[in-house]
Amino acid sequence: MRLQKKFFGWLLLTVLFSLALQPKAYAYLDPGTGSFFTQMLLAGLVGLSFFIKTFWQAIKNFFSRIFKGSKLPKDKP
Amino acid sequence: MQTASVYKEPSSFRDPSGFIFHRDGILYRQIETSYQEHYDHLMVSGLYAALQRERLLIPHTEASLDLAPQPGGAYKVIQPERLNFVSYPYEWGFSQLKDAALITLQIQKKAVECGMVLKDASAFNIQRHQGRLLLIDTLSFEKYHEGDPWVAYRQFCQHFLAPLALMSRCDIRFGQLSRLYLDGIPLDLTAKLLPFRCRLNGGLLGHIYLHAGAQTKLADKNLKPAAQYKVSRYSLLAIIDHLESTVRGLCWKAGQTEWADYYNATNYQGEAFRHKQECVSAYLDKINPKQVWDLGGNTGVFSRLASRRGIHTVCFDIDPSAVEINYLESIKHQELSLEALILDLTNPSPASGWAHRERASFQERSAGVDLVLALALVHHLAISNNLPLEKIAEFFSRLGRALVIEFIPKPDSQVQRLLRTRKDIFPHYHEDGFEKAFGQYFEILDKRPIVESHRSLYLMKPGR
Repeated sequence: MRLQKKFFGWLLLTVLFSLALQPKAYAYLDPGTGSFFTQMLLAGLVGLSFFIKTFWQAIKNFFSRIFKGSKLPKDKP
Repeated sequence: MQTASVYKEPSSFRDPSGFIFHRDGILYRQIETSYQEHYDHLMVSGLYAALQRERLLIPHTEASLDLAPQPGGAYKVIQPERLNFVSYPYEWGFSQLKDAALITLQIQKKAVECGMVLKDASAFNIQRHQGRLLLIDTLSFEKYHEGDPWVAYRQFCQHFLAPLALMSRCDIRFGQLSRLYLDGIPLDLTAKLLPFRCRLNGGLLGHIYLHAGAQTKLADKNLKPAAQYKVSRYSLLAIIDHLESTVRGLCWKAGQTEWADYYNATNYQGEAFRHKQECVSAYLDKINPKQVWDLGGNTGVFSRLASRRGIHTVCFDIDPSAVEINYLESIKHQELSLEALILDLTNPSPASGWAHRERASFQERSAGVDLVLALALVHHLAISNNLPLEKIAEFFSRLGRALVIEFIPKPDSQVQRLLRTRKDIFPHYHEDGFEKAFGQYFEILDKRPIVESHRSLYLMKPGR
Protein backbone atom coordinates (compact mmCIF):
# COMPACT_ATOMS: atom_id res chain seq x y z
CA MET A 1 0.00 0.00 0.00
CA ARG A 2 2.84 2.34 0.92
CA LEU A 3 4.70 1.53 -2.32
CA GLN A 4 1.58 2.14 -4.32
CA LYS A 5 1.06 5.50 -2.57
CA LYS A 6 4.65 6.49 -3.30
CA PHE A 7 4.26 5.47 -6.94
CA PHE A 8 1.26 7.70 -7.43
CA GLY A 9 2.93 10.51 -5.53
CA TRP A 10 5.91 10.42 -7.88
CA LEU A 11 3.72 10.02 -10.94
CA LEU A 12 1.80 13.12 -9.92
CA LEU A 13 5.06 14.88 -9.27
CA THR A 14 6.46 14.11 -12.72
CA VAL A 15 3.34 14.88 -14.73
CA LEU A 16 2.35 18.02 -12.92
CA PHE A 17 5.58 19.55 -11.81
CA SER A 18 5.77 22.22 -14.47
CA LEU A 19 2.14 23.13 -14.01
CA ALA A 20 2.42 23.46 -10.24
CA LEU A 21 5.86 24.97 -9.96
CA GLN A 22 5.34 28.70 -9.96
CA PRO A 23 1.83 30.06 -10.32
CA LYS A 24 2.14 33.53 -11.77
CA ALA A 25 -1.29 34.94 -12.59
CA TYR A 26 -4.23 35.67 -10.30
CA ALA A 27 -7.22 33.38 -10.53
CA TYR A 28 -9.90 35.46 -8.88
CA LEU A 29 -11.71 36.14 -12.15
CA ASP A 30 -12.31 32.49 -12.91
CA PRO A 31 -11.30 30.15 -10.13
CA GLY A 32 -13.82 27.47 -11.21
CA THR A 33 -12.22 26.21 -14.44
CA GLY A 34 -8.96 25.34 -12.70
CA SER A 35 -10.78 23.55 -9.87
CA PHE A 36 -12.91 21.50 -12.27
CA PHE A 37 -9.86 20.67 -14.37
CA THR A 38 -7.92 19.61 -11.25
CA GLN A 39 -10.73 17.27 -10.23
CA MET A 40 -10.80 15.69 -13.70
CA LEU A 41 -7.07 15.15 -13.62
CA LEU A 42 -6.97 13.84 -10.05
CA ALA A 43 -10.00 11.62 -10.67
CA GLY A 44 -7.95 9.28 -12.84
CA LEU A 45 -4.92 9.28 -10.56
CA VAL A 46 -6.64 8.79 -7.22
CA GLY A 47 -9.41 6.62 -8.71
CA LEU A 48 -7.10 3.62 -9.14
CA SER A 49 -5.65 4.12 -5.68
CA PHE A 50 -9.19 4.30 -4.26
CA PHE A 51 -10.17 1.13 -6.12
CA ILE A 52 -7.21 -0.79 -4.69
CA LYS A 53 -7.91 0.59 -1.22
CA THR A 54 -11.61 -0.36 -1.25
CA PHE A 55 -10.83 -3.73 -2.85
CA TRP A 56 -8.24 -4.46 -0.15
CA GLN A 57 -10.71 -3.36 2.53
CA ALA A 58 -13.34 -5.71 1.06
CA ILE A 59 -10.86 -8.64 1.20
CA LYS A 60 -9.98 -7.78 4.80
CA ASN A 61 -13.67 -7.56 5.72
CA PHE A 62 -14.36 -10.89 4.01
CA PHE A 63 -11.64 -12.72 5.97
CA SER A 64 -12.52 -10.87 9.13
CA ARG A 65 -16.13 -12.13 8.79
CA ILE A 66 -14.94 -15.69 8.19
CA PHE A 67 -12.56 -15.46 11.14
CA LYS A 68 -15.23 -14.03 13.41
CA GLY A 69 -17.81 -16.47 12.04
CA SER A 70 -15.60 -19.47 12.82
CA LYS A 71 -14.71 -18.03 16.20
CA LEU A 72 -18.26 -17.37 17.35
CA PRO A 73 -19.37 -20.97 18.03
CA LYS A 74 -16.16 -21.60 19.99
CA ASP A 75 -16.88 -18.60 22.18
CA LYS A 76 -20.32 -19.87 22.98
CA PRO A 77 -20.52 -21.50 26.37
CA MET B 1 -47.85 39.44 14.33
CA GLN B 2 -47.60 42.74 12.44
CA THR B 3 -45.86 44.44 15.32
CA ALA B 4 -43.34 41.63 15.86
CA SER B 5 -39.69 42.66 15.64
CA VAL B 6 -38.04 41.04 12.62
CA TYR B 7 -34.30 41.23 12.12
CA LYS B 8 -32.52 39.72 9.14
CA GLU B 9 -29.13 38.20 9.96
CA PRO B 10 -26.58 40.50 8.25
CA SER B 11 -24.25 37.62 7.31
CA SER B 12 -27.00 35.65 5.56
CA PHE B 13 -27.20 37.11 2.08
CA ARG B 14 -24.92 35.22 -0.31
CA ASP B 15 -27.04 32.13 -0.86
CA PRO B 16 -30.25 32.85 -2.85
CA SER B 17 -31.77 29.62 -1.46
CA GLY B 18 -32.83 31.36 1.75
CA PHE B 19 -31.78 33.48 4.69
CA ILE B 20 -31.68 33.59 8.47
CA PHE B 21 -33.88 35.99 10.39
CA HIS B 22 -34.87 36.64 13.98
CA ARG B 23 -38.46 37.20 14.99
CA ASP B 24 -39.23 38.11 18.59
CA GLY B 25 -35.80 36.85 19.55
CA ILE B 26 -36.29 33.42 17.92
CA LEU B 27 -34.03 32.37 15.07
CA TYR B 28 -35.64 31.12 11.85
CA ARG B 29 -34.55 30.36 8.32
CA GLN B 30 -36.70 31.23 5.29
CA ILE B 31 -36.33 28.76 2.42
CA GLU B 32 -37.11 30.13 -1.02
CA THR B 33 -39.21 28.29 -3.61
CA SER B 34 -36.14 28.14 -5.86
CA TYR B 35 -34.63 25.69 -3.32
CA GLN B 36 -37.79 23.58 -2.96
CA GLU B 37 -36.60 20.46 -4.86
CA HIS B 38 -33.31 20.38 -2.95
CA TYR B 39 -34.91 20.84 0.48
CA ASP B 40 -37.54 18.19 -0.25
CA HIS B 41 -34.83 15.79 -1.42
CA LEU B 42 -32.81 16.43 1.74
CA MET B 43 -35.83 15.53 3.85
CA VAL B 44 -37.20 12.54 1.91
CA SER B 45 -33.96 10.93 0.69
CA GLY B 46 -33.02 9.94 4.23
CA LEU B 47 -30.03 12.31 4.28
CA TYR B 48 -31.48 14.60 6.95
CA ALA B 49 -32.34 11.60 9.15
CA ALA B 50 -28.89 10.04 8.61
CA LEU B 51 -27.14 13.30 9.50
CA GLN B 52 -29.34 13.66 12.59
CA ARG B 53 -28.52 10.11 13.72
CA GLU B 54 -24.84 10.97 13.65
CA ARG B 55 -25.41 14.54 14.89
CA LEU B 56 -23.70 16.08 11.89
CA LEU B 57 -26.35 18.67 10.97
CA ILE B 58 -28.15 21.22 13.14
CA PRO B 59 -31.67 19.90 13.88
CA HIS B 60 -34.64 22.02 12.89
CA THR B 61 -38.40 22.00 13.06
CA GLU B 62 -40.69 23.37 10.38
CA ALA B 63 -42.52 26.53 11.46
CA SER B 64 -45.54 28.37 10.10
CA LEU B 65 -45.06 29.96 6.68
CA ASP B 66 -46.83 33.03 8.11
CA LEU B 67 -43.59 33.87 9.90
CA ALA B 68 -41.74 34.48 6.61
CA PRO B 69 -40.56 38.09 6.40
CA GLN B 70 -40.59 37.92 2.57
CA PRO B 71 -43.58 35.64 1.93
CA GLY B 72 -43.56 36.21 -1.85
CA GLY B 73 -40.79 33.73 -2.56
CA ALA B 74 -41.05 31.62 0.59
CA TYR B 75 -41.42 27.84 0.39
CA LYS B 76 -40.81 26.99 4.05
CA VAL B 77 -39.82 28.56 7.32
CA ILE B 78 -37.72 26.38 9.59
CA GLN B 79 -36.58 26.90 13.15
CA PRO B 80 -33.06 25.52 13.68
CA GLU B 81 -31.76 24.81 17.18
CA ARG B 82 -29.99 27.87 18.48
CA LEU B 83 -26.25 27.93 19.07
CA ASN B 84 -24.91 29.31 22.33
CA PHE B 85 -22.01 30.96 20.59
CA VAL B 86 -20.69 31.43 17.06
CA SER B 87 -16.93 31.12 16.66
CA TYR B 88 -14.82 31.69 13.57
CA PRO B 89 -12.18 29.42 11.99
CA TYR B 90 -9.34 31.84 12.78
CA GLU B 91 -10.23 31.40 16.45
CA TRP B 92 -9.97 27.61 16.34
CA GLY B 93 -7.04 25.51 17.38
CA PHE B 94 -5.42 23.11 14.92
CA SER B 95 -7.41 20.03 15.91
CA GLN B 96 -10.72 21.86 15.85
CA LEU B 97 -10.07 22.99 12.26
CA LYS B 98 -8.93 19.48 11.33
CA ASP B 99 -12.03 17.91 12.91
CA ALA B 100 -14.22 20.45 11.09
CA ALA B 101 -12.55 19.49 7.79
CA LEU B 102 -13.09 15.77 8.39
CA ILE B 103 -16.71 16.33 9.38
CA THR B 104 -17.29 18.34 6.19
CA LEU B 105 -15.93 15.41 4.14
CA GLN B 106 -17.98 12.91 6.15
CA ILE B 107 -21.12 14.95 5.42
CA GLN B 108 -20.18 15.18 1.74
CA LYS B 109 -19.81 11.38 1.53
CA LYS B 110 -23.20 10.85 3.16
CA ALA B 111 -24.73 13.43 0.84
CA VAL B 112 -23.38 11.65 -2.27
CA GLU B 113 -24.79 8.35 -0.96
CA CYS B 114 -28.21 10.02 -0.82
CA GLY B 115 -27.96 11.70 -4.23
CA MET B 116 -26.88 15.13 -2.98
CA VAL B 117 -23.66 17.14 -2.63
CA LEU B 118 -22.44 20.00 -0.52
CA LYS B 119 -22.61 23.13 -2.64
CA ASP B 120 -20.73 25.03 0.09
CA ALA B 121 -17.74 23.83 2.06
CA SER B 122 -17.21 26.95 4.15
CA ALA B 123 -15.47 26.48 7.48
CA PHE B 124 -17.81 29.14 8.89
CA ASN B 125 -20.67 26.65 8.43
CA ILE B 126 -19.21 24.27 11.01
CA GLN B 127 -19.86 25.17 14.63
CA ARG B 128 -19.62 23.52 18.02
CA HIS B 129 -23.03 22.71 19.44
CA GLN B 130 -23.54 20.78 22.68
CA GLY B 131 -19.95 19.61 22.58
CA ARG B 132 -19.94 18.40 18.97
CA LEU B 133 -18.95 19.97 15.69
CA LEU B 134 -21.76 20.02 13.15
CA LEU B 135 -22.96 21.74 9.99
CA ILE B 136 -25.25 24.68 10.72
CA ASP B 137 -26.28 25.54 7.17
CA THR B 138 -29.24 23.35 6.26
CA LEU B 139 -29.29 24.84 2.76
CA SER B 140 -25.74 23.71 1.91
CA PHE B 141 -27.01 20.71 -0.05
CA GLU B 142 -28.12 20.39 -3.64
CA LYS B 143 -29.17 17.45 -5.77
CA TYR B 144 -26.27 15.60 -7.31
CA HIS B 145 -26.13 14.99 -11.04
CA GLU B 146 -23.89 12.12 -12.14
CA GLY B 147 -20.76 13.49 -13.79
CA ASP B 148 -20.74 16.89 -12.10
CA PRO B 149 -17.45 17.87 -10.43
CA TRP B 150 -17.70 18.96 -6.79
CA VAL B 151 -18.60 22.62 -6.99
CA ALA B 152 -17.28 23.31 -3.44
CA TYR B 153 -13.91 21.60 -3.99
CA ARG B 154 -12.02 24.89 -4.31
CA GLN B 155 -13.73 26.27 -1.21
CA PHE B 156 -12.86 23.16 0.80
CA CYS B 157 -9.20 23.42 -0.21
CA GLN B 158 -9.05 27.14 0.62
CA HIS B 159 -11.02 26.99 3.88
CA PHE B 160 -9.55 23.80 5.33
CA LEU B 161 -6.65 22.21 3.49
CA ALA B 162 -4.63 25.39 2.93
CA PRO B 163 -4.68 26.64 6.56
CA LEU B 164 -4.15 23.12 7.94
CA ALA B 165 -1.16 22.57 5.65
CA LEU B 166 0.34 25.95 6.56
CA MET B 167 -0.25 25.42 10.29
CA SER B 168 1.14 21.90 10.17
CA ARG B 169 4.06 22.32 7.75
CA CYS B 170 5.07 26.00 8.26
CA ASP B 171 3.94 27.63 11.47
CA ILE B 172 0.85 27.27 13.63
CA ARG B 173 0.35 31.06 13.55
CA PHE B 174 -0.54 30.89 9.84
CA GLY B 175 -4.04 29.95 11.01
CA GLN B 176 -4.54 33.69 11.44
CA LEU B 177 -4.40 34.15 7.65
CA SER B 178 -8.03 32.96 7.61
CA ARG B 179 -8.90 36.18 9.39
CA LEU B 180 -7.53 38.13 6.42
CA TYR B 181 -8.95 35.86 3.70
CA LEU B 182 -12.54 35.17 4.69
CA ASP B 183 -13.16 32.95 1.65
CA GLY B 184 -10.17 30.83 2.48
CA ILE B 185 -6.45 31.24 1.91
CA PRO B 186 -5.70 31.58 -1.83
CA LEU B 187 -4.04 28.42 -3.11
CA ASP B 188 -1.32 30.24 -5.04
CA LEU B 189 -0.31 32.01 -1.84
CA THR B 190 -0.38 28.71 0.06
CA ALA B 191 1.82 27.10 -2.61
CA LYS B 192 4.34 29.91 -2.26
CA LEU B 193 4.42 29.75 1.53
CA LEU B 194 4.68 25.99 1.95
CA PRO B 195 8.22 24.57 2.10
CA PHE B 196 9.45 22.88 -1.10
CA ARG B 197 9.36 19.42 0.47
CA CYS B 198 5.53 19.59 0.60
CA ARG B 199 5.58 18.90 -3.17
CA LEU B 200 6.60 15.36 -2.25
CA ASN B 201 3.29 14.85 -0.43
CA GLY B 202 0.84 13.44 -3.00
CA GLY B 203 -2.19 15.11 -1.37
CA LEU B 204 -0.64 18.56 -1.12
CA LEU B 205 0.88 18.24 -4.58
CA GLY B 206 -2.50 17.48 -6.10
CA HIS B 207 -4.93 19.55 -4.06
CA ILE B 208 -2.72 22.58 -3.41
CA TYR B 209 0.11 22.85 -5.96
CA LEU B 210 -1.61 21.40 -9.00
CA HIS B 211 -4.87 23.06 -8.04
CA ALA B 212 -3.16 26.46 -7.68
CA GLY B 213 -1.30 25.95 -10.95
CA ALA B 214 -4.48 24.95 -12.80
CA GLN B 215 -6.40 27.91 -11.36
CA THR B 216 -3.84 30.43 -12.52
CA LYS B 217 -2.97 28.85 -15.86
CA LEU B 218 -6.51 28.07 -16.95
CA ALA B 219 -8.28 31.12 -15.55
CA ASP B 220 -10.35 32.91 -18.17
CA LYS B 221 -9.08 30.67 -20.96
CA ASN B 222 -12.61 29.69 -22.07
CA LEU B 223 -11.48 26.12 -22.60
CA LYS B 224 -14.99 24.71 -22.36
CA PRO B 225 -18.16 25.43 -20.39
CA ALA B 226 -18.20 24.20 -16.79
CA ALA B 227 -20.92 21.67 -17.63
CA GLN B 228 -18.50 19.80 -19.89
CA TYR B 229 -16.08 18.93 -17.08
CA LYS B 230 -17.08 15.42 -16.05
CA VAL B 231 -16.13 13.55 -12.91
CA SER B 232 -17.87 10.23 -12.31
CA ARG B 233 -19.54 9.45 -8.99
CA TYR B 234 -16.83 6.88 -8.27
CA SER B 235 -14.08 9.40 -9.01
CA LEU B 236 -15.82 11.98 -6.84
CA LEU B 237 -15.81 9.54 -3.92
CA ALA B 238 -12.14 8.79 -4.67
CA ILE B 239 -11.29 12.52 -4.52
CA ILE B 240 -13.18 12.90 -1.22
CA ASP B 241 -11.32 9.87 0.16
CA HIS B 242 -8.00 11.30 -1.00
CA LEU B 243 -8.80 14.66 0.59
CA GLU B 244 -9.67 12.82 3.80
CA SER B 245 -6.35 10.94 3.92
CA THR B 246 -4.49 14.18 3.09
CA VAL B 247 -6.20 15.99 5.97
CA ARG B 248 -5.58 13.06 8.35
CA GLY B 249 -1.91 13.17 7.41
CA LEU B 250 -1.55 16.78 8.58
CA CYS B 251 -0.63 16.89 12.25
CA TRP B 252 0.53 19.38 14.80
CA LYS B 253 1.54 18.68 18.35
CA ALA B 254 1.07 21.34 21.01
CA GLY B 255 4.50 22.18 22.38
CA GLN B 256 5.45 22.95 25.93
CA THR B 257 5.13 26.70 25.50
CA GLU B 258 5.41 29.02 28.47
CA TRP B 259 1.61 29.31 28.49
CA ALA B 260 0.72 25.68 27.87
CA ASP B 261 2.92 24.78 30.84
CA TYR B 262 1.79 27.77 32.91
CA TYR B 263 0.41 25.98 35.96
CA ASN B 264 3.42 23.69 36.22
CA ALA B 265 5.93 26.48 35.67
CA THR B 266 4.61 28.94 38.26
CA ASN B 267 5.16 28.79 41.97
CA TYR B 268 1.48 29.60 42.30
CA GLN B 269 0.18 26.28 43.55
CA GLY B 270 -1.12 24.57 46.62
CA GLU B 271 -3.31 26.39 49.10
CA ALA B 272 -3.52 29.67 47.18
CA PHE B 273 -4.57 27.85 44.00
CA ARG B 274 -7.18 25.84 45.89
CA HIS B 275 -8.50 28.95 47.63
CA LYS B 276 -8.77 30.79 44.30
CA GLN B 277 -10.84 27.91 42.91
CA GLU B 278 -13.10 28.07 45.96
CA CYS B 279 -13.61 31.83 45.56
CA VAL B 280 -14.38 31.54 41.83
CA SER B 281 -16.80 28.69 42.55
CA ALA B 282 -18.53 30.81 45.21
CA TYR B 283 -18.92 33.70 42.74
CA LEU B 284 -20.30 31.33 40.10
CA ASP B 285 -22.89 30.08 42.60
CA LYS B 286 -23.77 33.62 43.56
CA ILE B 287 -24.17 34.98 40.01
CA ASN B 288 -25.62 31.75 38.57
CA PRO B 289 -24.69 32.67 34.99
CA LYS B 290 -25.90 30.91 31.84
CA GLN B 291 -22.89 31.95 29.79
CA VAL B 292 -19.34 32.55 30.94
CA TRP B 293 -16.31 33.87 29.08
CA ASP B 294 -12.92 33.07 30.54
CA LEU B 295 -10.39 35.54 29.14
CA GLY B 296 -6.79 34.36 29.12
CA GLY B 297 -8.09 31.05 30.41
CA ASN B 298 -5.02 29.03 29.37
CA THR B 299 -5.88 25.30 29.29
CA GLY B 300 -9.26 25.90 30.94
CA VAL B 301 -8.67 24.92 34.58
CA PHE B 302 -10.94 27.69 35.86
CA SER B 303 -13.28 27.51 32.85
CA ARG B 304 -14.13 23.99 33.95
CA LEU B 305 -15.41 25.26 37.29
CA ALA B 306 -18.15 26.89 35.22
CA SER B 307 -18.60 24.31 32.44
CA ARG B 308 -18.90 21.44 34.94
CA ARG B 309 -21.87 23.26 36.44
CA GLY B 310 -23.51 23.00 32.99
CA ILE B 311 -22.80 26.67 32.21
CA HIS B 312 -21.86 27.28 28.57
CA THR B 313 -18.27 28.50 28.84
CA VAL B 314 -15.92 29.89 26.22
CA CYS B 315 -12.27 29.84 27.21
CA PHE B 316 -10.12 32.27 25.20
CA ASP B 317 -6.36 32.28 25.15
CA ILE B 318 -3.66 33.79 22.96
CA ASP B 319 -1.55 30.61 22.94
CA PRO B 320 -2.42 28.02 20.24
CA SER B 321 -0.78 25.28 22.35
CA ALA B 322 -2.93 26.00 25.41
CA VAL B 323 -6.06 26.14 23.22
CA GLU B 324 -5.11 22.86 21.52
CA ILE B 325 -4.61 21.10 24.86
CA ASN B 326 -7.90 22.52 26.13
CA TYR B 327 -9.84 21.48 22.99
CA LEU B 328 -8.44 17.94 22.97
CA GLU B 329 -9.22 17.60 26.68
CA SER B 330 -12.80 18.76 26.12
CA ILE B 331 -13.25 16.25 23.29
CA LYS B 332 -11.65 13.41 25.26
CA HIS B 333 -13.98 13.96 28.22
CA GLN B 334 -16.99 14.80 26.02
CA GLU B 335 -17.45 18.14 27.72
CA LEU B 336 -20.67 19.57 26.33
CA SER B 337 -20.44 23.11 27.67
CA LEU B 338 -16.86 24.14 27.00
CA GLU B 339 -15.30 25.80 23.95
CA ALA B 340 -11.60 26.63 23.62
CA LEU B 341 -10.67 29.46 21.26
CA ILE B 342 -7.63 31.48 20.24
CA LEU B 343 -7.86 35.19 20.93
CA ASP B 344 -5.34 37.97 21.31
CA LEU B 345 -7.19 40.28 23.67
CA THR B 346 -4.99 43.22 22.63
CA ASN B 347 -6.21 42.75 19.05
CA PRO B 348 -9.53 40.88 19.31
CA SER B 349 -11.42 39.47 16.29
CA PRO B 350 -12.88 42.46 14.43
CA ALA B 351 -16.16 42.90 12.61
CA SER B 352 -15.30 41.94 9.04
CA GLY B 353 -16.57 40.97 5.63
CA TRP B 354 -18.99 42.95 3.50
CA ALA B 355 -19.87 46.30 5.10
CA HIS B 356 -18.23 45.05 8.33
CA ARG B 357 -21.33 42.99 8.96
CA GLU B 358 -20.63 39.44 7.78
CA ARG B 359 -18.57 38.41 10.79
CA ALA B 360 -19.34 39.91 14.17
CA SER B 361 -16.59 41.32 16.34
CA PHE B 362 -15.50 39.75 19.60
CA GLN B 363 -17.38 42.42 21.53
CA GLU B 364 -20.57 42.11 19.46
CA ARG B 365 -20.69 38.40 20.29
CA SER B 366 -20.60 39.11 24.03
CA ALA B 367 -24.27 40.16 24.10
CA GLY B 368 -25.46 37.08 26.00
CA VAL B 369 -22.50 36.78 28.38
CA ASP B 370 -23.49 36.85 32.05
CA LEU B 371 -20.07 36.59 33.61
CA VAL B 372 -16.52 37.34 32.45
CA LEU B 373 -13.57 35.74 34.22
CA ALA B 374 -10.26 37.62 33.99
CA LEU B 375 -7.93 35.64 36.22
CA ALA B 376 -4.20 36.28 36.30
CA LEU B 377 -4.64 38.45 33.23
CA VAL B 378 -4.51 42.13 34.14
CA HIS B 379 -0.75 42.19 34.87
CA HIS B 380 -0.05 40.88 31.35
CA LEU B 381 -2.24 43.57 29.80
CA ALA B 382 -1.03 46.41 32.02
CA ILE B 383 2.67 45.59 32.22
CA SER B 384 3.51 43.51 29.14
CA ASN B 385 1.30 45.57 26.84
CA ASN B 386 1.43 48.99 28.50
CA LEU B 387 -2.36 49.19 28.70
CA PRO B 388 -3.55 51.73 31.27
CA LEU B 389 -5.83 50.16 33.92
CA GLU B 390 -8.65 52.57 32.96
CA LYS B 391 -8.56 51.31 29.36
CA ILE B 392 -8.76 47.69 30.54
CA ALA B 393 -11.66 48.52 32.87
CA GLU B 394 -13.53 50.40 30.15
CA PHE B 395 -13.25 47.52 27.66
CA PHE B 396 -14.19 44.85 30.21
CA SER B 397 -17.25 46.90 31.22
CA ARG B 398 -18.57 46.39 27.65
CA LEU B 399 -18.27 42.59 27.67
CA GLY B 400 -20.59 41.01 30.22
CA ARG B 401 -23.10 41.54 33.01
CA ALA B 402 -20.59 40.71 35.77
CA LEU B 403 -16.83 40.41 36.11
CA VAL B 404 -14.65 38.26 38.32
CA ILE B 405 -11.16 39.70 38.11
CA GLU B 406 -7.89 38.96 39.86
CA PHE B 407 -5.41 41.66 40.74
CA ILE B 408 -1.80 40.59 41.13
CA PRO B 409 0.39 43.30 42.71
CA LYS B 410 4.06 43.98 42.04
CA PRO B 411 5.50 41.86 44.87
CA ASP B 412 4.05 38.69 43.24
CA SER B 413 6.69 36.58 41.52
CA GLN B 414 4.75 36.59 38.24
CA VAL B 415 4.74 40.40 38.07
CA GLN B 416 8.39 40.47 39.11
CA ARG B 417 9.10 38.17 36.20
CA LEU B 418 7.47 40.65 33.80
CA LEU B 419 9.37 43.58 35.31
CA ARG B 420 12.72 41.81 35.21
CA THR B 421 13.51 42.99 31.68
CA ARG B 422 11.59 46.27 31.56
CA LYS B 423 11.70 49.59 33.29
CA ASP B 424 8.98 50.00 35.91
CA ILE B 425 6.96 52.79 34.30
CA PHE B 426 3.76 51.73 36.06
CA PRO B 427 3.47 53.94 39.17
CA HIS B 428 -0.32 53.43 39.37
CA TYR B 429 -0.11 49.65 39.22
CA HIS B 430 -1.11 48.83 42.78
CA GLU B 431 -4.30 47.73 44.52
CA ASP B 432 -5.60 51.25 45.16
CA GLY B 433 -4.86 52.27 41.57
CA PHE B 434 -6.63 49.16 40.32
CA GLU B 435 -9.72 49.78 42.48
CA LYS B 436 -9.81 53.44 41.46
CA ALA B 437 -9.55 52.62 37.74
CA PHE B 438 -12.17 49.84 37.81
CA GLY B 439 -14.36 51.85 40.19
CA GLN B 440 -14.97 54.31 37.33
CA TYR B 441 -16.72 51.66 35.27
CA PHE B 442 -17.83 49.02 37.78
CA GLU B 443 -19.51 48.67 41.10
CA ILE B 444 -17.21 46.53 43.24
CA LEU B 445 -19.52 44.02 44.93
CA ASP B 446 -16.98 41.87 46.72
CA LYS B 447 -13.25 41.48 47.32
CA ARG B 448 -11.44 38.39 48.59
CA PRO B 449 -7.69 38.27 49.29
CA ILE B 450 -6.27 34.91 48.20
CA VAL B 451 -4.54 33.13 51.05
CA GLU B 452 -0.79 32.60 50.95
CA SER B 453 -0.44 35.16 48.15
CA HIS B 454 -0.47 38.90 47.50
CA ARG B 455 -3.38 38.47 45.12
CA SER B 456 -7.04 39.52 45.41
CA LEU B 457 -10.20 38.47 43.61
CA TYR B 458 -12.99 40.93 42.90
CA LEU B 459 -16.59 40.52 41.89
CA MET B 460 -17.84 43.55 39.96
CA LYS B 461 -20.90 44.73 38.09
CA PRO B 462 -20.53 47.16 35.17
CA GLY B 463 -22.43 50.41 34.82
CA ARG B 464 -21.42 52.55 37.74
